Amino acid sequence: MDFSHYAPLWGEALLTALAVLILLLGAMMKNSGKLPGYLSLAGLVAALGLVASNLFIAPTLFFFDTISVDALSQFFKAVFLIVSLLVVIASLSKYTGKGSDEFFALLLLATVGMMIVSSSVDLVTLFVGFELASLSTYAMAAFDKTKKNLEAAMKYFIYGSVSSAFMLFGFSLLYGMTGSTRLADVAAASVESFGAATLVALLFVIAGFAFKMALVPFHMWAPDTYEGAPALVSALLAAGSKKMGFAAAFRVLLIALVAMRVEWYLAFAILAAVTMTLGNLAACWQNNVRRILAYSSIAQAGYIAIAFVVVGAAYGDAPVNVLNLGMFPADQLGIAGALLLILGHALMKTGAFIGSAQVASMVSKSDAEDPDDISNYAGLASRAPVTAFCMLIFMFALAGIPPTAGYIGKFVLFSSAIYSGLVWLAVLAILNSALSLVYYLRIISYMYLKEPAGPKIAESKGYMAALVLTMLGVVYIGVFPDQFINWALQAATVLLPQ
Amino acid sequence: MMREMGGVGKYMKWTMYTMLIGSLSLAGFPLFTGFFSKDEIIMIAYEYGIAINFLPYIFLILAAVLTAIYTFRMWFSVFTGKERSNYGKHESPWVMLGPLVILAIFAFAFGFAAQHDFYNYLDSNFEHYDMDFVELGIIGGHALIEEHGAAAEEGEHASAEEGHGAAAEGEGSHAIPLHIQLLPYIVALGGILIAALFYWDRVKKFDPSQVTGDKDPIRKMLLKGYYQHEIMTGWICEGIVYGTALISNTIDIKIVDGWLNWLSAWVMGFAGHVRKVQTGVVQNYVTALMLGIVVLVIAIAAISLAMEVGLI
Amino acid sequence: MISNALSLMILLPLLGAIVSFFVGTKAKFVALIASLAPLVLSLQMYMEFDKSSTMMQFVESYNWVPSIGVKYTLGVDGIGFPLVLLSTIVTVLVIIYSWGETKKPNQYFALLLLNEVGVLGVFTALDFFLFYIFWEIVLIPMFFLIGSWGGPRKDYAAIKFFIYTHVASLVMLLAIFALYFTYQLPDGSRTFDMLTLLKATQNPEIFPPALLNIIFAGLLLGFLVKMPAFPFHTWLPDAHVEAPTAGSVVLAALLLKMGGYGLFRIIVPMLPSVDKIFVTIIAIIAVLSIVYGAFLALAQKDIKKLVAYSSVSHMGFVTLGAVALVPLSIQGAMFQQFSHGIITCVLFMSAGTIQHVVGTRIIADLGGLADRMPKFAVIMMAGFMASLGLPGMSGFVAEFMTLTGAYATLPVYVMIVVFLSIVITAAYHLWAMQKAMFGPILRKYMDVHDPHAYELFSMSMIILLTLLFGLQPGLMTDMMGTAANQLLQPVVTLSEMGVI
Repeated sequence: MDFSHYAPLWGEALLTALAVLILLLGAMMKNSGKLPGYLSLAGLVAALGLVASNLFIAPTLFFFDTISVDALSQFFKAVFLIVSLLVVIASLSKYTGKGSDEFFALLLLATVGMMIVSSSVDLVTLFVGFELASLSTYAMAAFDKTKKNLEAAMKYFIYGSVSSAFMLFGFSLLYGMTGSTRLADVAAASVESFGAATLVALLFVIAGFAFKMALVPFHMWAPDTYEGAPALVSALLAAGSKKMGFAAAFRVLLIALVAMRVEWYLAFAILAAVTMTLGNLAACWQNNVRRILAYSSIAQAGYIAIAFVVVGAAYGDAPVNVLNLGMFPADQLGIAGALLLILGHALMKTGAFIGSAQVASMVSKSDAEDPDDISNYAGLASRAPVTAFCMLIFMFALAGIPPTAGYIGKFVLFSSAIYSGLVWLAVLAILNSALSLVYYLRIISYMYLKEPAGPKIAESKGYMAALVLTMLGVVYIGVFPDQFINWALQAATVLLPQ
Repeated sequence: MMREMGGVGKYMKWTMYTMLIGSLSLAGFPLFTGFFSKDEIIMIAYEYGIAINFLPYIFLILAAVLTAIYTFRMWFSVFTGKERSNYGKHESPWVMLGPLVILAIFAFAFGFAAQHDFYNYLDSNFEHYDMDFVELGIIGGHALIEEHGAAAEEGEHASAEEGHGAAAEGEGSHAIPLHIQLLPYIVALGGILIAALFYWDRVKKFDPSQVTGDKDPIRKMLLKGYYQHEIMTGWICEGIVYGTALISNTIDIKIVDGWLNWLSAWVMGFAGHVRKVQTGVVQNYVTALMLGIVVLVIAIAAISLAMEVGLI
Repeated sequence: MISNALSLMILLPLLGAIVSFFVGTKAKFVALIASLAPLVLSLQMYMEFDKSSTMMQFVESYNWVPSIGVKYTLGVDGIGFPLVLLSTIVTVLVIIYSWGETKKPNQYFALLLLNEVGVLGVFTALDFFLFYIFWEIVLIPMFFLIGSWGGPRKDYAAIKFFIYTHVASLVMLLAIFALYFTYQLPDGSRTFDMLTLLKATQNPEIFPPALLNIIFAGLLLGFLVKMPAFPFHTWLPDAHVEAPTAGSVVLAALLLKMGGYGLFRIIVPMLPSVDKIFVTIIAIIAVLSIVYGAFLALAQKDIKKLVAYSSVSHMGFVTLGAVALVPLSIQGAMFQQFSHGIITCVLFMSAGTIQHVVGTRIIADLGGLADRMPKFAVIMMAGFMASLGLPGMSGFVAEFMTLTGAYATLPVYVMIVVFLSIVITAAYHLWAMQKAMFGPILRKYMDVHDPHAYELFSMSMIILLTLLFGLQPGLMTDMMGTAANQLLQPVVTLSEMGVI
């Protein structure tokens, strides 16, 4: 076995091995203390380093051409690893001792699953990775074993299973029609024999992905699950597995669907528009901060989905001189924008959920009915200044106020929409950003403008470290976006070769 | 207040006499300063009347009469008669009386002594102006000067430096009938007489209450200064201006600001309905999933069909 | 002159804000130093400023995000520099006025300094992207100032202020994007450079009239809401009344001028290229702001709300002068902006002092305060006189120039209406002052006393300034005149000026 040949995949291998190791350790040691946490941390850092060394690798195929390591996969892997890393840092204080080994093992396995998805160019591997991540996260969603957790996990599991069933059904239909499971082959074969069956198959597949992305009307599990699961798991869900859905969608939709030149983008435009608006509107009424964040994630998924519309509208169009980046086609810019927003949103949402975890963990010590109720955030600025400030930055970033990562992602994405002639969609998106201010400002005003609802909170180190790192990342991307824009464009090139 | 005075002359002789001189001058009593200036103006107004219309002249004569009456009403009521209240009975100090005397001298003597010199002085000021007196003499399209003969025209040019005074005098003495010339004297004296008849105890014949009383609307109007204060302050200021301000304020609060609150209420209401879709029942979620797929399939199929047919 | 003076001027208050936040009760000293430094810098720049030059001065330009075409470009000319000076002066005086603030002083002063940073950035940015960032930055400290230290309805006022002005800014952002996407440089790249884009709008081949009208409307909306002009003024009374005094002063003196600045910098150069109907619309809005604002001020019972509406009315003059498109009226409007910025400080400080010392702001409840607060009464009277346009003070010069210039192009009946509203302006000022200060002193106010020395100091400085500029307006109007003349010429870009 030529291991060095598989060098780009060492990260996945390491994490898998580490997961097994942690489980073994947990079984053998009575109280493993913080060891699983630190081991995961080390493993994730190593994997991240590996990915970082390979960021702009030329597409390399492995395992009978089912796994492709290219710039796009590295982008997504970087996102997943960063998110997992942040979650692990925050979890170090919470999940220790007995039972923590399972948590970290599941987390690592979920990360591996996501990484596989981002690399797959084959339907089967895609499914395997997808399910690996999904099953791990189903279990994690029930981890704290409270009633709420169980309800959240059940809903997630049931809904997820149904969508997976659809997805698999779609995959099998595609295989049946085209005779191969490789995406490239599917694409090539579908161009000739496109018919109603292909359409239905693809839509089933989309349903499966849309579930993970939480696009309307496949979003209904999200508010309950994000609210009910342990906060750090919600972070992983919102920032990690949602992006996995996008990764899969990019691979499949863009390679397979576009080849067929179906003008489906109108339907998706409506979908994206409805998702944005519904997410933002519903969030205005919520009193539970995690639900607000859940709806906000739904709305953000709507923004990101604009990329699909852009690709559909502008596929194959001649390259135009885009911004000042050189000659790029608008569809590529759209994907780049989506990628930027994915990166930014991953950071922002992870941070926001970790912040909510911090507040909830303190409040649940006293007997509050709902630790995530917004009234617990009153006067947070004086009770937990670091957390409040980081949350402030996250809220502003999510609202798209410059100079933050959220603003840059939205800017590139909306410009691509304008370039491809979808000005109405860009305008609608910007107006939605204004609407989203309503609930972001609400949280901010509770934190900073209201009288404190309780005593000073001792901010635990793990949470603080994670929050500050995330916040710095969000601001850094916003102030020095150049390198990130270039990176995203490079990654986008993989999908749409010029 | 005048109703509290009366018989002041007994105690303030100097004040009484200087006041008398001033009143006579004001009323236009012959030989006093006031008479000379009034007389000039009244004559010019008469000429204007001959040329165009007599309205200014009539008003001037009326004004002269009334001036005489009210001036001497004041003098008689204040300085003659019985005391009507318990007021301080002493003369003013010389610092106040001094100027009074000086002014009284002027009120009496300046007219006949310095009239012509004064006119010359005024005219000399206009030397530097390029004023065409012929044009100035045209009022309402009628040339005052032409009406009164060619001699006047010579007189105009010759006395251009001396200005209108001389010319007017020259004309006036030609054309104005005697009774008109005498009218200012009659009017002044007549006015004083009337005032005396009403208010001078020595010759008092009539009583003011026979002419007017408290209920008299004309008197009320005059007392209130033609209701100027009521109109200006009451109607215009408090009514129109402040009323506009209050109306604007209401408009601002209800409408210009109101639509904002209405908009936000509407959005939140709409959002409230939207959130009810999330029922919490997982079976509903999955149903929605199925429905979603079905709708998507139909939508996309419809779109591709429409495209093939050529609708889109 | 130090190089990068403008950046330094913006950076110092930012640093001051951060330091103030952490030092606790000593924050006021830090804040004072951090605000005096930009003042000194700006005064030095004033000495070196070339008043007859039409070029941008003190320009600095760096590549920031070349892939998008964003450059970090700062520069000032006759439009922006007076406002820069205004900002530095007002911030110092506001900090002195707030010397006695006891509630969370570290945050209070930090927020005041942050406001200065944002405002200075807006007045000096020459890149639309940068301009927008600073424009948005300003909203945040003001939101917190109103929301944390404000009056009874502070939450409502703060959120209303933020969302209203933010939505308008978003519309403006869309317009900026439209500008950005439409124009391409000869080498195919795109830029956010303000003067380049403005110059391009004057070329109908690049910007077809239909598109330009829409862009113009978007930009205009952003600025009109900020000024604020009728009918987008309703956020102002609530924001002003509920804000703490220092917040109100900064809001009225600096934030409103951002709208005016945008009017001169961006709207006026575009006016000749867009539909003529816009001139009429803006003129109507201006006149309505003046008149309606004056009437509303007359109807108010609360002295702070009265002053707030007077701001609406006075800023209407700025709009009027700008849209008359005559050099004298534009110059007058710029000076009116500057003058109002100064005068409104003392007006709001007076209202704040009355509230603080007497306990109420309702005019009908006040009376005879001059008896017990003589020094304050003199200053307040001088301030109110300045506000209604007493000759000898800057307000008169400004209104005179504006109206004389506007008379040349606007119809007579418009001018008559405006002149009549000056009467109304005098009316409400005099009434408020007379009722509050003069007349017999009410028994309940017998213990009232003059405010603290620092409050009196800031206010008297303002009076001195308004006298200074009333008697020697040339100090400011010279550079404004140059800028006004330049505004009516075709736009000249920075590279054409040779300053980059």
